Amino acid sequence: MFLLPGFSGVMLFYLLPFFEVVRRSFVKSGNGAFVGADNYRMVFTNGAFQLAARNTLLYLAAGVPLLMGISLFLSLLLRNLFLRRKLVSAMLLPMAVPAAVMVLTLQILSDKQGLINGALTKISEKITALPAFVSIDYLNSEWAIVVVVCSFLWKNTGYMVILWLAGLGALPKEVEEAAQVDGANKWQNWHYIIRPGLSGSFFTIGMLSVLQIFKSYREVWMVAGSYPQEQIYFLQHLLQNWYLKLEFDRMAALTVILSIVLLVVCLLLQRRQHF
Amino acid sequence: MKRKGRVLLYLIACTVCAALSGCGGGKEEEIPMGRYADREVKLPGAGYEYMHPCPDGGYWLFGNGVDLTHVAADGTVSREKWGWESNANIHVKFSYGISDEGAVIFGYTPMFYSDEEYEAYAAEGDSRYLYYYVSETGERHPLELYGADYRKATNLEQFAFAPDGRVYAASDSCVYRIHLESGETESLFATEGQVREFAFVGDTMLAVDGEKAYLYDMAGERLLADNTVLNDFVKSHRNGRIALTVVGQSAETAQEDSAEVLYLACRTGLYRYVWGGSVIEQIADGQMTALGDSQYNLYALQGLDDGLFRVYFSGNYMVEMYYDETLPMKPSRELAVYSLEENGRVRYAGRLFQKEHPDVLVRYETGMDGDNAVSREDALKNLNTRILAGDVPDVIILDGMDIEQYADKGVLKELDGMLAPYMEEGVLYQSIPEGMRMTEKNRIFGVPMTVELPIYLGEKKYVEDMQGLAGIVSAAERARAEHPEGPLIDTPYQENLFDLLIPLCLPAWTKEDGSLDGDSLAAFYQAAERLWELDSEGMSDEERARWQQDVVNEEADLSNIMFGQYEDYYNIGETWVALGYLKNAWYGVTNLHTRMENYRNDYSYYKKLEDEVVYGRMTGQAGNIYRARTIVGLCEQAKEPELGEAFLELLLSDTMMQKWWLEGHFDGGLPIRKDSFASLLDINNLAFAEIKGWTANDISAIYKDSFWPTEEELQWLYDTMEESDCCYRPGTLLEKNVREVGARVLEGGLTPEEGAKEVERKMAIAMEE
Repeated sequence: MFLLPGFSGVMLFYLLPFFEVVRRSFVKSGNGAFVGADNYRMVFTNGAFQLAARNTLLYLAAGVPLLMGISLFLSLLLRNLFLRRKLVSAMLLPMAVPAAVMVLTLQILSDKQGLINGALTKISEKITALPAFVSIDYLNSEWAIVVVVCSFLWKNTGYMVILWLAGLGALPKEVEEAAQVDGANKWQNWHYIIRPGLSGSFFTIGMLSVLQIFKSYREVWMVAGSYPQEQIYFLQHLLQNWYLKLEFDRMAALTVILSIVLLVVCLLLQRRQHF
Repeated sequence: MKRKGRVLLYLIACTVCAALSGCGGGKEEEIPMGRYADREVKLPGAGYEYMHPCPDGGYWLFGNGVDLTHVAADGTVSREKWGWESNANIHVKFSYGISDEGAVIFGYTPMFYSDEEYEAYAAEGDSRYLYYYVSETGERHPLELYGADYRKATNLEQFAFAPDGRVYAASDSCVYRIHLESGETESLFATEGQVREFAFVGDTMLAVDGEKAYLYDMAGERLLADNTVLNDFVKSHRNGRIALTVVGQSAETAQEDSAEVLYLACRTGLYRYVWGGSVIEQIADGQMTALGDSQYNLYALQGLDDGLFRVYFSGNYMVEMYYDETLPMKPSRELAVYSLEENGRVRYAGRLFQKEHPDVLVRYETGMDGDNAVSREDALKNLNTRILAGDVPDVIILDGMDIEQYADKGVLKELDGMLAPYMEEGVLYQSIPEGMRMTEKNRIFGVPMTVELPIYLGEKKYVEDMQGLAGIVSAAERARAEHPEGPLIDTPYQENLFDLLIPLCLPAWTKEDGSLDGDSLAAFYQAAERLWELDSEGMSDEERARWQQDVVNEEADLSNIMFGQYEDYYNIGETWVALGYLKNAWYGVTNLHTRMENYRNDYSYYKKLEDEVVYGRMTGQAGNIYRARTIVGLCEQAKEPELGEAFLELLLSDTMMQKWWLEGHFDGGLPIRKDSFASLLDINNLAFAEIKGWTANDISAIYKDSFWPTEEELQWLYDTMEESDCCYRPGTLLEKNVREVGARVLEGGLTPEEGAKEVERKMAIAMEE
């Protein structure tokens, strides 16, 4: 009985709406006629979906390992540092930065007349051996995905470092000390003791990183609008644009597909709880 | 335990069944009757800006350039001729206060007869706000206000005469008491904002700003403790003005410990507060009266005997609110009307409709109502969510929306059948609804109430026979060759240039197969870039920045074309090729003669200029385009489809087409009804004279001059309307992208060809979607 209130909430606000989305994915919006798997077929054959799915996968493939790797590396560096707490607090600052400020910063940096171009132009002027630098509008060029990945890393690394540090903090010191006494070097210490010990954190941090990737859409949209440079056109752009175009049926199908993909990713991560 | 559970389940099931079956509701409910309604009060003239209600049921009216007018309780009108103001060097009056007996205090700016005089005046600092007092017997003198806590020339926006004769005033941060004889100004208490309203209850003064109600004991000269009931009310209505009136002891209030009653009017309705009580009760719903009409601002409220109220609004509009026992307390039916932005015509039609159908509540909702700062995209998302949930409005105003998308998705109803009688009988300019055909079905899903026609105007040597984008560029080049300095066209911002050109070309950028015509778009960017270049050649960046500062709002639509405008710019050299959209019929084809003010002010040189100036239809890449305004659509899944159709019929009626104009909304576009349009251009239409406050005799005087369109000119305008068959519909994604990329093209970041490719790229994803 004590589960009932919580379960009712989940049913009412998550499961029932989701079932409704599943139902809508099999009917035509407007007249509500049953269309079988047509909506799914339309999604998979849609050029915009293919582009968005490719970009989202690329973003995931680049962003998640980089975020996890960099944050783990930093946490290992910080682990025994005296000023660890202060440094970690400083690294959390990007998370506190409002989205609007972040967007402005991105624009100031990546604009054709922005700081990055300014700095590179100055460098090329000073070093005459280099060819003359031509300014690039990064968010409207093939560099757009790099800018987005960098901003994602900048914003989320601090948070992930904290999570890794928590995982590291939970490892028993005695085991490492015993290994050192037995003559284990740093690599062996990492490979045989720390890495297996962090398996539990791996799932949580991996899942959170994937979710952060999806959440970072807000900044991308604010910087580049509903139709950004091709490489940073993600699935959320597609969903949002379909919503504005009243393509509710296809949107429902895509939502179901995404849910299944996320579920699979979740299960895979859960099964591979060691790395 | 199991048994208890079963009993509990049984009880729940019984309760649910009882609730669903409507237990106890066998008797048909009686509809409660009676609610407040309103009727317009005919005012004794035009130009008033201020009303002071008197306790005897009469009221004073006053304004800049009009006589002080008293309307007695029995309706007798008496006017006090002033006319001495220019001798007292009073140029413009503002911020009035009038006593019950007719004493007046007001702010004014003086007249300057030379630049030196103005500079000397300005050098004194912020001394623009001067004040004057005229007693009820006509004695008058300037008020030299001074005081320990009063800074000279503070802007006092509100004045009030207390029943004991003392005068109070409010700035944006303080309430003062003014001694009329000496000019001494005492600061009484600080306020959070500008006090907009005063009321007096016995010895207590109530002052209300946007955040708070201040109570001041005039006898004890101290601020009283906050009244939380009033404070809460003020806070919850901070977005609009609140008007107050106190009604003394009456038969009604006698039962309530002889308390005085404060009435508060605001956009949401009329409220009643028994002084000292703990509740404010609503007695009239704003939505069902003129109070909720957002096109007017509430200025003053007067409580009368027998539960009557007078409400004075901006635009010199007054209504009397009365309790009608024959009306149902709550209308039994509801007509839901939706638009993205506030539309005065629709609001007005809603009020007319509600008057005609007292059993219907017209609920007019706007997606971006200004107070909630919702973006267009968010408003559309909200609307789509409602559509998704089946909460569909009955009537939808499609301005700023992608109509084709809504039509394609089955949200909008086909209007062909409904419009057929109008088309067959030739009531409407047929080409205009025909220009709204869309989707694969080639049907009409929305019909505009008015249109705007693209017009050019300029000296013959520059603009004669100007055709297409190339023609506009050539005209600008010819004008620039003769006038190397100053702007050529009235486009301080890049956006203004796009406002002019995009409507002329947008329909031409989509091929028949739905793909984008990149060549046409590149040609458009070339023309836009060249025009911007030509315009910029005549001024430095700093000069343009200064020009932009004068305009202030980048999003302001400057595309209204008028002959007077051209003439003004001609004189000051701000434009040589006037391009724009004709938005009103009264100011005429190109306003060659139609401005009555021309005659009144003897601006005969307008006529001279006409000989050197030509005008014609401005064209771009598309055909004979028109800009559609107030595009009305009906929803397929409407809850009240008959009411929706009746509402559209009202909007299309001659009454509505003309009435809106007669209310003084002259820039609302040209009506698509032939008879209404002709009537608006008819010099014998005395209604126009009436709204300008002239008598029929003055109108006849206009015949003495030829400042009215000739038959030939009128025919040109009618023909141009007939030929307009290509609708420019704003709000499409293509336009948004063209504007975004266009800014980069004009700034030199992209060539026209690159710009076209960039738009193609952006649209490619959209088309794939």
